[in-house]
Amino acid sequence: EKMEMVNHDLKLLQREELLKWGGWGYNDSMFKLNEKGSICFTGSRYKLSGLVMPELRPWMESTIGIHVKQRSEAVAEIDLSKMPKPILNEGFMKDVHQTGMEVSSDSMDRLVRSHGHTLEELFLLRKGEFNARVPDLIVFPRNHDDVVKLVSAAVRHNVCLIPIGGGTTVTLALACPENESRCIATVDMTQMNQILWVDEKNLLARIEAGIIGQDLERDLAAMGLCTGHEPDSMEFSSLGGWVATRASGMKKNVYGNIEDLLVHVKMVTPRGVLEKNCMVPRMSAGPDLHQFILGSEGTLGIITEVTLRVRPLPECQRYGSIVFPDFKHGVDCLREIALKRCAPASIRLMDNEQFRFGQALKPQADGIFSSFIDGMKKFYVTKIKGYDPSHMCVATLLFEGDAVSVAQQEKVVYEIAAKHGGMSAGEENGQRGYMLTFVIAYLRDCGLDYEVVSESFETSVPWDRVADLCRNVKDRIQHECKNQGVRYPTLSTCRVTQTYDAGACVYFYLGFKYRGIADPVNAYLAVENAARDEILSNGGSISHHHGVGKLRKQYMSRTVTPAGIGTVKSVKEYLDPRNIFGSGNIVD
Amino acid sequence: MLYNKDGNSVDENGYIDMLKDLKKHSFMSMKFATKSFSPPKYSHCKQRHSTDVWKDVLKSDRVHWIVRQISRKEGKSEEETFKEAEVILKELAYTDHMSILRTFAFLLIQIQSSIYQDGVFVNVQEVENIREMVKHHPIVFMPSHRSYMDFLMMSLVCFYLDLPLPAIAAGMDFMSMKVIGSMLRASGAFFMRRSFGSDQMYWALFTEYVHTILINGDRPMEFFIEGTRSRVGKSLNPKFGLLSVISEPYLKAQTYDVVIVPVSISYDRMLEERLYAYELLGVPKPKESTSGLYKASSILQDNYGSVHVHFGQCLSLREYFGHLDRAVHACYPRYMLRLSSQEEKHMKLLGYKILQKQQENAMCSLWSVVALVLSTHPAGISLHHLISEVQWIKSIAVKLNFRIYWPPGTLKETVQKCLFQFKHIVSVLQQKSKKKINNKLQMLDPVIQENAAQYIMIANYRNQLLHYLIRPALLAFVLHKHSIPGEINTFTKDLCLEDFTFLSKLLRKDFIFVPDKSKEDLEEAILFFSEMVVLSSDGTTYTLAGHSHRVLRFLRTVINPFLIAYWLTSQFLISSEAPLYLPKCY
Repeated sequence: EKMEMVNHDLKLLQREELLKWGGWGYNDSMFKLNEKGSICFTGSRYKLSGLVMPELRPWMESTIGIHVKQRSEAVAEIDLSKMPKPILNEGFMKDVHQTGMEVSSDSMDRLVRSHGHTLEELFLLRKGEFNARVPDLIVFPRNHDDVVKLVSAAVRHNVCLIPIGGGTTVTLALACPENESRCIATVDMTQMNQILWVDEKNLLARIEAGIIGQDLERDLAAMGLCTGHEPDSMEFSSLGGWVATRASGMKKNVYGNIEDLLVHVKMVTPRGVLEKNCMVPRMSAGPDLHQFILGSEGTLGIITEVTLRVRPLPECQRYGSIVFPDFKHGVDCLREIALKRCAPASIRLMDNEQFRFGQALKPQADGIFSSFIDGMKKFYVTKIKGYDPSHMCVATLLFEGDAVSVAQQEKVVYEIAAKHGGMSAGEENGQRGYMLTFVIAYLRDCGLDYEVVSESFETSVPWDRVADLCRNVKDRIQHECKNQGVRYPTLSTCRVTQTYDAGACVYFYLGFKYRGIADPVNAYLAVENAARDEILSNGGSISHHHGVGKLRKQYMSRTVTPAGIGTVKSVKEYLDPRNIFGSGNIVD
Repeated sequence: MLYNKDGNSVDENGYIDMLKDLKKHSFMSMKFATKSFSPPKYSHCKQRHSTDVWKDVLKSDRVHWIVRQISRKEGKSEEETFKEAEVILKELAYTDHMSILRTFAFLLIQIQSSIYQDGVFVNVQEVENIREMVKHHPIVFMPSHRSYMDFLMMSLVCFYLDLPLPAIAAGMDFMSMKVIGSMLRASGAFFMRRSFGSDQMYWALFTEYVHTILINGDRPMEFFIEGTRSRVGKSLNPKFGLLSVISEPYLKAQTYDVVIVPVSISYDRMLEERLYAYELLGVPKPKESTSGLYKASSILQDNYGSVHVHFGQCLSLREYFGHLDRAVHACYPRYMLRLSSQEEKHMKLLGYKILQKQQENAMCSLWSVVALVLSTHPAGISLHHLISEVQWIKSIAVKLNFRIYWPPGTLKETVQKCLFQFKHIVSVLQQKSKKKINNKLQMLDPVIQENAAQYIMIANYRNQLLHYLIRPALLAFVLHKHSIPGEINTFTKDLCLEDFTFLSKLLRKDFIFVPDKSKEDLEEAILFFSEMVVLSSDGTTYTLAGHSHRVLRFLRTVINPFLIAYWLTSQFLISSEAPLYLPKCY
């Protein structure tokens, strides 16, 4: 199993009791220096929890230049008295109270719903500071009807609404526009977390939009079903958020992305509820309105209920991994796998830097024997097969299906890999790779403790441009860090995380130690913007699944032409003429 | 590095003499040829053999696409078309053989030590920068092209400086030379047909071949932006075809950047000086052949003075094209050659920019100054007068920072030494102490006026300097037209611009003028005269100084022959009764 599912229903608890207010994930889980000077991962939720990773600190020292004595810790407590005073709208409050839904103007409630997880937001929080504008109050609708009432009250009293699900956005989508003078009510959807019904005949399930990913999969699993939608954030992100940002799941090769899974959706807009009148696999009725709801990022209305396709749980799951002599060989192999349409549920190709990072995350071997085996394996790969450790990279695989088809898939995939110089590197390496997906997010907080800012961002790109784009963007990051006066080595690495017929999704990780730089956040933003500019120049997209939010709004016109911007705006103008959904995401 | 280890010192202009130590002892050439050679490597380069380079070309999308198109059009099988492509590529491709290269270096360095008796000078400061650039970006050397020696010189200098040896786009004519052809190939030359405008297949193969080398960074690329050797000492107008080819990988984001290094190679004395003069007189250019080269080896007895190889500042295409959005190429396959009109426009300007850099960095010789004076005195000039004229030009040159190498010693000594070195062109008649252009030279064709070839040689050496003078000279004509002798003459820029533009358009094939930049050119000319205190300005009008006639007359005399040539041609065309067939582009 990828993660230990401890019996914590996120939906039953107030999130702040379980989750950090100023960092990623669970309160008890973090990378930390132990008394022996090695980095360990705390808590008990993940496979890595409680283990020491002796190679991690040396890796961080040599790759990013951290020094254990040069620390930059976050404030322990945030002084909530400094929070901006709420702008309240009495008429709205009165109307909302009448519906019986919960409302809060508690400072902590407002704080934790005022941000997502972009670097600049976390940097501010760690300093104990706030944005100039935060939500004025939080409302907790319990069902679709509550939302209908809420939206009509907001229209009546001209209140700005910002929906929030899991709050894992990395595009500043939850940030309140600074010039918003109306009352901002952030609509916390997490109380709407029920699977309303399951229709096994048609393999459909109607689910409330506030449900968190891991709860959804667990509840469905109890019925022998799954959606198969597993974005990396699935522990914390919500179904509504997935629809609103056009999310993509790790296993999309088998199950599809959110737009493929979605059969029906209800969105409450200031003009009324927008939905189709039937639940059919496909229809020809003019432009597909679902495509306007998908990716609307909270600017048109609130997504309340979603009907997804569900599948029986797979009989068999198997991990795998392949080492390649270099990244280009790996990309060529993935390209052929995509061409032959035999991709396993998930296939990800890490570059050499990530390959080495993965090595650094290996927990202490529990005996001489296993490190001996490691040594032998390394000898075989580097000496006998002649792979250069400074170029080689690894792909991790996850196969799903019945036992026979998994075995077949494995055979085909490993045959193609062999053609491209790839060699199977075992099941364990693959499994570890996927397990790391969930803990990597915690590493940024650890970096921030040691004066390191880091972030990840993604794009999609046609196959013929994948390798060039990866190389150029990584180079651009290095050059821009130099321009920004970074004095330490820069981490600039990528992986291909999704394959399609026509292209792939690429994820970049970037991090640097900011010691000596006056304004680390702006330096970081300059680097990320340079990287995004390079991505677009290389024929990549503005985003594969994170969305636009406010972070990438500046690139929208370049992406969809001014005519495209006008189209988006005109729909907004019709559905929400008074800009009730005033988060300011996507377009101005 | 050789030049540090051996304590070879840098002179005041930043140059070191590559041949300095080689003259000490004959075994030094062996030491040179067997020296360690470990150039920096492009960090993203995937090591491959030179045969894999052209094999990879056959695997490319561009070639597959073109092969499919051609096979369909001509009703052939794709296999057949690929076979044809393979033949062309084998003819095109370079090979690597370090041992042949070292042999070549051994021979060449000996020849060079014997003919360039004053040394081969290289500016080393920029080289350090280039050595660093090589690691991060694909590099393109763009040397000026005056001589066959140019690409041999480039490879030898790269070998000497531990710079990676370039892949050189060379003319097909060299390929047919026995032994030498394959030696050139072994040292990185690849051979391109002179014109292949409409041959789609050739164009695709050639483009892809250049791209794959550039993108993988197997070697730096080297090509001559002038397209061919300039036979007249002046720069030729840039050719844009290859420039587009090397810019495309950057514009289509196949590389992070492409860095161009303009290189100026300046010769005191040209190996081909007579050849060029005869070519201009209509004697056909001899076909390149090894036996021809052997016959020409008699010229290898003489002293050819010194050579200056100047590596210009690296020019990043990323910076140059930085303001253009490369995403315009995102919506069609990258193997289709297509550049936006903006890109084409900037490509042209880039070509001119590179040429101007080459001119700026060229090192003119004292002999070219002497030739400049001689050319204005076709009937001869006294030695005394010659030296005073040279002295006067030197004062201008120093004031305006012309790059001219003034050898150490008094001007009298150095000019005399220079005259001795070029005694095959000028002779000093002892009694009258008068310079006379040598008329003892044997002419091939008695119809041609007997000493025309010498005049042409003189003119060609003079031409090396003219890029410094052409703009002020054109303005001198304009000022002359608008001024009345004996009066105070004032001018405005607007008054001058029209005539100035006319003249620069007229001479655009003779000199390098960036299209549509007459205004800037005029500014430059005005600046020249302001520095010379010929023109003074009150902000809007310029007044001609009384003492200015010498500079102005001199400049007009220098450029007059070019205008007369056009005038004569026009006269002939107007009076000719034969029907005129004008080229389409006019």
